[in-house]
Amino acid sequence: MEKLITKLVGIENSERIDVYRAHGGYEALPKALKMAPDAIIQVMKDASIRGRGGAGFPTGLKWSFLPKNNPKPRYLLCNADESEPGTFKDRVIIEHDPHQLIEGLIISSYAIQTNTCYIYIRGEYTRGAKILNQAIDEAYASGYLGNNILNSGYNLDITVHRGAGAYICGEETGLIESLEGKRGWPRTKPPFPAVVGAFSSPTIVNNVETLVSPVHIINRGADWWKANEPKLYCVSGHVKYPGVYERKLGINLKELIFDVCGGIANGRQLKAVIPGGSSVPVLTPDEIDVAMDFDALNQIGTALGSAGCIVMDDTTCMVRALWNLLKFYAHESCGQCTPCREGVHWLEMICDRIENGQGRMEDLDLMLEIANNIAGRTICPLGDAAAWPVAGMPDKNKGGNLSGKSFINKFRSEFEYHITHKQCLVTGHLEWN
Amino acid sequence: MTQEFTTENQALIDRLIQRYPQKQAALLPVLHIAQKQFGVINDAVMKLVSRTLDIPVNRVQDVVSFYTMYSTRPVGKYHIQVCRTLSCACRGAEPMLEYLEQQCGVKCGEGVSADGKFSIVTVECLGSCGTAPVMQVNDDYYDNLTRAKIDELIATWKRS
Amino acid sequence: MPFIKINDTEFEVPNGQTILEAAKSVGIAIPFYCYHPGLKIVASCRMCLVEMQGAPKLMPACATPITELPPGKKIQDKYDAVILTESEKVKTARASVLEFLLLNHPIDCPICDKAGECKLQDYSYEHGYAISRFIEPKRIPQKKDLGPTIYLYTSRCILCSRCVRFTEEISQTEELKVVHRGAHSEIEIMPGKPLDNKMMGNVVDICPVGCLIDKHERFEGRVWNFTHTDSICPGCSKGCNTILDVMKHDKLNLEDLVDTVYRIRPRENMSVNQWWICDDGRYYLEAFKSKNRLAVPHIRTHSGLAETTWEAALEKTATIIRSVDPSQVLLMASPYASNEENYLLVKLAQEGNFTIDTVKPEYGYTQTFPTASGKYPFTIESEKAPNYKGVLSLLNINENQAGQKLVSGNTKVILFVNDKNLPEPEKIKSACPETLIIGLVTYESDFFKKADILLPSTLFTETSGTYTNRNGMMQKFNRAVFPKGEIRPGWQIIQQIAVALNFSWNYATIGHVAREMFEKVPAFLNTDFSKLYPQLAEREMIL
Repeated sequence: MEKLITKLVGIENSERIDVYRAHGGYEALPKALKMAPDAIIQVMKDASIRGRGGAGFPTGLKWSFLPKNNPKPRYLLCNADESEPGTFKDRVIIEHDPHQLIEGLIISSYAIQTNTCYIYIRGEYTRGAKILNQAIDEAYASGYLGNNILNSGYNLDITVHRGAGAYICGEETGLIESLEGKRGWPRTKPPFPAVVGAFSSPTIVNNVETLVSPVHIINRGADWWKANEPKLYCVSGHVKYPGVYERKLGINLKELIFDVCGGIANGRQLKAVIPGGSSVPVLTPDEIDVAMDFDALNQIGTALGSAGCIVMDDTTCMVRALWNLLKFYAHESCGQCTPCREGVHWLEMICDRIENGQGRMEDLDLMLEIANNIAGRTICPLGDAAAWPVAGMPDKNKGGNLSGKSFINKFRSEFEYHITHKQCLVTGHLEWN
Repeated sequence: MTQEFTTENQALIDRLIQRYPQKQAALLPVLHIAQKQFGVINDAVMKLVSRTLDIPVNRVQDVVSFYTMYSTRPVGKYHIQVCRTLSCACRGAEPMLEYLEQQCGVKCGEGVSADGKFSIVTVECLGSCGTAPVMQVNDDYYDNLTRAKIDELIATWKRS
Repeated sequence: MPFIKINDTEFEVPNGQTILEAAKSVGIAIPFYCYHPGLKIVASCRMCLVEMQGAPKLMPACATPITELPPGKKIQDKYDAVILTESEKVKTARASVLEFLLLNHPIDCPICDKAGECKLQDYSYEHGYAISRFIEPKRIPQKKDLGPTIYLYTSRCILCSRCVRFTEEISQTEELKVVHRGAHSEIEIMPGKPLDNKMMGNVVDICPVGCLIDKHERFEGRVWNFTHTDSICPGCSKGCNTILDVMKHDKLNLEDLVDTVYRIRPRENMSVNQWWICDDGRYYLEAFKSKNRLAVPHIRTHSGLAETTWEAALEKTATIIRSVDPSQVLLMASPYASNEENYLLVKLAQEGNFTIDTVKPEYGYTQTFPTASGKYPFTIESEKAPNYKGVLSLLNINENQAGQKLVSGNTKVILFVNDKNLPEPEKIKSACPETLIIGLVTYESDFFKKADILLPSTLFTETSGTYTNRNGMMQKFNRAVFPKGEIRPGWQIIQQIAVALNFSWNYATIGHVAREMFEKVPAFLNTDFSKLYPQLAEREMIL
């Protein structure tokens, strides 16, 4: 398959502007600058691209929410906070092909008519921030940023803004608060960021992978994109060849694990796989014959999310795995709203107790109930993200309650074993060379 | 002793402030600069940042306590941050952490080793799951970690 | 205007009004913690979640505005919103929020001062579960000393962040912040920057639980033993509306606590003080705790002040007044006295042809809190008397004329209706050494050393009356406690002096005084008397 997004990965000095240009870079930008900004938004709508950060919201639609007659300046915020466990695709773009991102940012900023763009990059990506800054300097020097870009009359400034270690700052309003120099407490919506965002002004927040897409959509057209839409899939865990793989959106999960990534390492068996980053419900081996796209995964009660696929073999203790994730969410909960602050911590404590041999049978249904009391009741989706691995995603057939189809129910016998035998069924987590 | 930024850092901060419509927006980047210069963000450093950005010092304290990358206590010359989240846990992060504790002579979360060289903490997903297990030491990522690799790194660091 | 239905009630609401406010307007109560009408909306407690037809999730009532739907899209063809506040889903959500809040909450009710007026108790009883399912170890963070007047019992905090928002938006002093993250979040002050501003007492009022505790009130009483009386703060000319909480019974029979004012707190009045009072008003009575109160009348003899009876004191007062020419008798009204007291003094002056003047108010500290909304700035007035406007209207003079008659030299007898901000007796006596001074007094002060007759009178807590604030608004304060010992209300004392001088006054209650005042005084004619004195009944305002 032709690589678009990861074309330059592996090429020496791919982060430099001359290498980028030599491989066809900065060709979409002049085309875009000749179009009307609204025309670009229409093309994005026609391409039907959905956000790559985790929520999958249609990008063109999001851009069209900006108010028409608002005198305030607008902002484009590139979400490079990438903290969803299992996800590491944006880092590949940032470190190996920063100019692709920059070109995408310039086109997107032009389309939504903003002159200021911030790249909010997680603090731990020090190397990424450095590479981005160098690339931005190169772009300024070549006239792709600053005043009167390519004699179009359009001005744009891009600033790299480093975060400091908070997963919640990947949530769009948490990101905005953090950009403003405050703690990353998400805001209630309405008002939505497109109307009242950063510095009280209309703001669009999009993921890195989403924001490189305009380059290719402009170059190839919306129809081509719809027919051949590329997607970055991150695969980690117990496969032979973990990594980031660019494939057409909708690759079969079985194919991804066994063909692309070489199957399970060390001759082991697949036990479980989380398809879209830790926040989505887990799948059992009999569920992996499914297309990795937004709709197909929703239909089986999980989601594509950030496409961070975590593969677990039969040495993995599922109780310990769930505890590991719950501790992550408890650690990252911002603490603002009651259900997430208290409930997620409670879930983690119960799971810890089960893992340490002090569980009770009633703890399992208790955890399911707590998860149902968190999901849908919080200010931002982190509460949902903690509850869904425990108890599945909302099920229309259950009146909106969680389906029950995730760790606890899919591996109930293992959880029950933990409770009755007071120990792990398997101990793979103790192996390391 | 009143803390001050180096001339270089002050110039950097002045340029940074220009890029935002409000001074407080520069708080996170300025705190990174402060941590780099002073090694730790204590009360005096917070007051300096508060003066520099013209904001009440409580706002600085609020932000410093929220984000995990800002250290309010001294760290070792090599501040080892081990990822504990699922993908790395599947690839042995836990036994690796124990090994690190033995080799560096300091327990996770318990300050700095006697020789001042090492401090160890666990952190959440570092975004390098494909090359698990992963750790970040100061600004740099180290991945695909095996016992041998860690032995080599620690030997180098102990010599420096 | 949007037309909505909440439960079974259909009604119109202003466009953009929140569900919570709309429900309140028709008497439907939705529970909440973090919402406060004077502070920014954060919707973080999640207690006010309600079911809204058409919304995929439960919506926070405090933060969800009601807007009109386009004409083809109305619900059931007529409603712009259909909301349920008591459905099963909503009840489960509320009970779960309470369960979450109680996970780490200490079972402190037996020793917590908030018991009886605690929203966690009240809502748990109404909406919560009776049994806890939490068997994990509880967090036990320590209590913090925030500053001169307030403790923070961290373990009881439910992180509604009202106190943080108060110091950010109202006092704009920003002493309180949330620190750390997730379940480890706490409210904290910066070392070296204690919670110390002139409005800080308000955070104790707005704390829904017993986390913020006023040091003056800690362990002092149980709320169900109190009565609550509407009053007005006499601290300055702003006229903040207050509530006096008075301890009525105490099973431990702590005599000196019974029938005392336990606390002063604000009463909502959007035209005057909104929801707040300053600390000077809140702790107004603290200053008196270390002073001695005059409990019986005193007359000066050659060996100093001696206790006496009311009959003797009143007779002596009358004798003194009659012994000089009426023009040499000066009655001093006061901006610290009520309109009713000053009115009776004016009437006495008229009937006896005495001279009348007023004491001037003290001026002092002033501060304006602009508040974040800017709509309701809160100013602590520099004029430290509650009724200057009132007394000037009654005397029909202006500020420049006030106090002129005090040292004119021809005065032989002066009667002060109130003992605050009085000139030193030496000054008066140096102008005219034989001047005899009679005073209606409360607490011991330097004034006692040179006064000749001391008549123990009431504080604003022990009598009723009206004050006119700096904006010309007349407001009523009500008796909260009974005066002890031989103390008599100021208006009664003046009446008894008048009677001793053979004037035929016989007001049965202060309400009767007030009614006459509103009928006779031109400046007060337009006042709504029935609103201030709703029951002119014998039993209402005897004191």
